[in-house]
Amino acid sequence: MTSAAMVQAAKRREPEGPDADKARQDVARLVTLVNDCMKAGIPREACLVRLSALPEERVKPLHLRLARSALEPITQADRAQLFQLPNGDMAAIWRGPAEAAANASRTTIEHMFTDDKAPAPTARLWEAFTLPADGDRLLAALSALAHPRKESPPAEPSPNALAQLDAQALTAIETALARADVSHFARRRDICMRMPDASFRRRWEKRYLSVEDITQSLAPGHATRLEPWLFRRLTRTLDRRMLALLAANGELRDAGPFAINLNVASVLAPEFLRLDESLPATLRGHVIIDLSPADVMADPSAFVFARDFAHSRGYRLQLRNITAELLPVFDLHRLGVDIMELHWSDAVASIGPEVILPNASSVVLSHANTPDAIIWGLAHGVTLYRGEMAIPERSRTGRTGQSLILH
Amino acid sequence: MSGASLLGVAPLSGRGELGATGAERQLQEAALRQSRNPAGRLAIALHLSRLVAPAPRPHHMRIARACLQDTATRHDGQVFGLANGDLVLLCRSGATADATIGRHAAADPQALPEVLNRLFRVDTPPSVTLVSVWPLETRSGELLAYAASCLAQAPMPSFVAPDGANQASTMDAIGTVITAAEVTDILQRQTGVLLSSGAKRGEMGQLRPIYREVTFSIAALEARIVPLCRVNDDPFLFRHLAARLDQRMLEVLSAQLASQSPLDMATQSAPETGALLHVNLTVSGILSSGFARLAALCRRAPQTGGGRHAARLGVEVNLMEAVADPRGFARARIAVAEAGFTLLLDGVSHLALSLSKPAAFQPDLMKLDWSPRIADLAPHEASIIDHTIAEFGPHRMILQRAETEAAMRWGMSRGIRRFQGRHVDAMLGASRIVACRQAEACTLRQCIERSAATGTAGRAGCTNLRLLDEASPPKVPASAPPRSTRADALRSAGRAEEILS
Repeated sequence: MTSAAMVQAAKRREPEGPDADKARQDVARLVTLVNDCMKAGIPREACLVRLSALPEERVKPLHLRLARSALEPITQADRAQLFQLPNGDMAAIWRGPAEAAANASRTTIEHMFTDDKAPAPTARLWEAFTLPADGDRLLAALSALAHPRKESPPAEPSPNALAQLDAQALTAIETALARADVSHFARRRDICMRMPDASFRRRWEKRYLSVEDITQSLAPGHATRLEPWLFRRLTRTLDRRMLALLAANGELRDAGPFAINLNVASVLAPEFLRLDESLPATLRGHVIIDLSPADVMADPSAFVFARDFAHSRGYRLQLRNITAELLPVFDLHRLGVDIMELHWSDAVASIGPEVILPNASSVVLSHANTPDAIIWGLAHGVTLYRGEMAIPERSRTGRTGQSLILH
Repeated sequence: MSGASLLGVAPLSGRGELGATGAERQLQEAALRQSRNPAGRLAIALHLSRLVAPAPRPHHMRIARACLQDTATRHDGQVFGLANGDLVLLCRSGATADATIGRHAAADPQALPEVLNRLFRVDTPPSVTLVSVWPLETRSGELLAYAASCLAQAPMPSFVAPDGANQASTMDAIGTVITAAEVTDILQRQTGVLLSSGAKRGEMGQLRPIYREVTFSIAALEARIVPLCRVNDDPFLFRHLAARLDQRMLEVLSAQLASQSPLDMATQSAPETGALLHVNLTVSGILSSGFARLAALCRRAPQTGGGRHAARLGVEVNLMEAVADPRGFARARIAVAEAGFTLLLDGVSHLALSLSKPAAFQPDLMKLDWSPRIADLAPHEASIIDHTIAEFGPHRMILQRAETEAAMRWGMSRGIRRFQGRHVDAMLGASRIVACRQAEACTLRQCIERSAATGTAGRAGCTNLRLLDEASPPKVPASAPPRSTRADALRSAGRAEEILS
C-alpha cells in the first residue's frame, strides 16, 4: 500500500462525534503520559497497532473488536492502559517487561491480519517502544495523528465504521440486558482524598457497569455513545441491572462506602426501593447517588422529589461530569446536592488560582491523570480526586472501613 | 377483607397493603374497629388527590407507598390505597428509638408527616393540606367522616398515567411520518408579542407581534402513529427525535424560504414589525451543514426576495441540550451569532430557574415556561425567581405558555413584556376578527386554530388568508364599518380566556 493510500484509509476510518472526542482525548492522554515518562525518566513499555495501515477490506468492525480482544493479554500487565486513536490505530502502554503478554498480543494480531494470498504488513502493524528512550519516536507517530495532512481528501462515511446506535439496536440491547448476567461487566474506581503527606487515601469507590464491554458483548458493531440521547435512555436499563446486582444476596456484605451512577427516574424506581430495603445498616449514610446534569434538568420536579427522598433515606447526592462550561450554571447549595464532580480538562486548567472554586471541599476532581490536575486542584482547595494520579495506598487502607466524611 | 381484619386485629407485619378495589370499605371498617380501642393508635392520610396535575405521577405513588409501608412495618400498621389516589396509614403512634438517622427516623409516625410534606412540597400548592394526622384517641371522628366520604364517592378511573414506557421503536415510526407526511400538515405556529404598558399601572397596553414560532405539532405526529403513543413521555427519546426533526425543519426552511408560503410570511423582516421566524433546533442541528446552508440562504434573501430585508431567524435551543453538551452549545451560539440570528434558551421552567443559572449560557433571550405554581411559590423560592429575572434582564425574558391573564399580569409586574401562549392567541384572534370583513361566519376559536395551522386543511374555512398569515398586527381600517358587539366583546382578554377554557 502506498503512503497516500494509507493516509486515505486512515482518514476514512476517523470517527465523528463523541467517539472522535474520546479518541482525541486518548491521544492527548497518551501524549501527556509519554511526556511525563520522558521528563521523569519513568520506564514504560508501549506498542502501537497500526490498523490504519491495512486495506479497507481487511478491517471490518469484527476485526476491530478482535484486535481489541487480542490486546487483552497486554492490558493485564501492571499499570496497563489502552488507547483508541482517531485513525483507528490502537496503542497500549504498561509497566515492566511483560514479554509473554506482549508476545501473545502481537502474535494474535499478526495471525488475525495475515492473508494467505498476500503477506500481511506485520512490520508496520505492530510497533514496539521502550520509554523513555523511544519517547520521541512515539510522540512523532502521535503527532502525525494530531496534524493530519491537509492534502487528504475530505472524510467520507466509512462502510466499516461502527454503526450508530438506533432505536432498534437500543431495543435489542435493552432486551438482551434484561437477561444477561451483568456481574461480568461490573467495575470499580477509587475516589481518594489527598493527605497532608501527599499520599492518597480511598474515601469511597465508584461502582459501575462498563458500557463499552456491554456494547461489545450485546450489540457488537454499534457505538452507543454516538447517539447521546439514546445512550442516556440505555443508562436507565443499566441502572436497573446495577441496582438488582447490588441488591443481590451478599453483594454488599463487606462493602465499603460506594457511589453509583443513577438516573433520577431510577432513584424512584422499584429496583431502588429493593436496594434500599436490602442495604446493610452499616452502609446507610455511606452511599452516594451520582446524577447527570442533563438528567436533572430533564425533569426538575422529579429531581427535587428524588433528592428529598434520597436524603430522607440517608443517601448523599453527587452531580457528575461538571465541565468548565457548566461550573457557572450549577451551584451545590442551590441545587441541594452534596458533592460535585468536576471533569478535569484544559478549560478547567485555564481557571486561574484567583478564581475561588465554590464549595471546594465538596468537589471531586475527576480524570486527574496528570500531575497538573493535582496541582490545580490543590491550588483551588480540592482534596478529593479520581484518576490515575490518585491511587490509594493499599498498604494503609483496605477495601472496607473507609469513611465518607468529607469535611 | 383479610381474616385479621375481621377479627379486629391489625396485621402485625404491616404487609397487608390493600389495592384500590374495596379499600374504602376496608378503611371504614378498620377505622370503626380501631376507634373503639383508640389508645396509642394514629391515622395518617396522604391526600395525593389534592395535588395539581400532572401530579400525582407514578413515582409519587410508588415512593409514598414505600414510605407509608415502612412505617406500617415498624409500627404495627396497615396501608390503604384509595381509588381517588389518597393513601391512609393506620398504625401505632409511639415512636421507636431504634435509630436516629435515615429510614428508621423517617419511618417514625411522628416524623412521617413532615417527611411527606417535605417530599411533596415541590408539587403541593401552599393552600393545599397534603397530610392529615388524626390521633384516634381525640380525632377518630374526623377519620370516620373522611372514610365515609371516600366510600360515598363513586370509584374513579385510574388517575395515574402509566410510567413513560415509550418504546424506542416508536421513534422510528415518527421518523417515517416526518419524512413522508406533507410537512405543512405536521407543523404549527404561534405568535409571540411585545406588550406595551397601559396608561394606568397594571393595565395592559398594545400588542405588537414580534415573532412567530414554527414547531412540529406533537399532537399531529402522535395522531399518525399506530398504536397511539405519547411521544414526549420519555425526555431522552424526545431529544433523540428532536435531532431528526431538525433535519426536516432545516430542509423545509431552506426550500420554502424564497417562496411566499405560510412559513415564509414571518421571515419577512418588515421594518415596522421586525417579526422573526422562530424555529427549534438542537445543538447538533445548528452545527450541521444544513444550518450553514440555511444561514447562507437567509443572507441572500434581499436579492431573491424582491428587495426584502435579509431574512432573520430566532433559533430556540432547549435547556437540556445546552446542559448535555455545553461545549457544543457554546459553538452553536457562535454559529447562530455569525448567521445574524437570535439565540433563545427554551424550556426553562421555574424550577430549572431556581435550581440552576441558565443565564450563564449567555443566550440572547430566555423563554420561561409559565405555570400557575409560579405565582404560588414560597417566599424564598419566589425571591430566587425574581432576582434571576431582574439579573438577566426582564426585557430579555419571554413568558411562554401564557395561558391566562394572570400569567401576563405576573410577567408584567416583573417587567417582562414578551409573551407567547393561548391568551396571546386569543387576544390576537379577537383583533383579527374585529379587523376582518369576512369574519361573520367565524368563531374566535376557529380563527385561532386556523392561525396556528400551516397546512391547507387546517386553514380551510378562512376566506381572508392574508390577514390570517400577517405577522404584523391586524389593524382596523379607519373606514371599517362598526362590527357586532360580539366582536367588540372579544377584544377583552378576559373574555377571550373564558371562551378558550
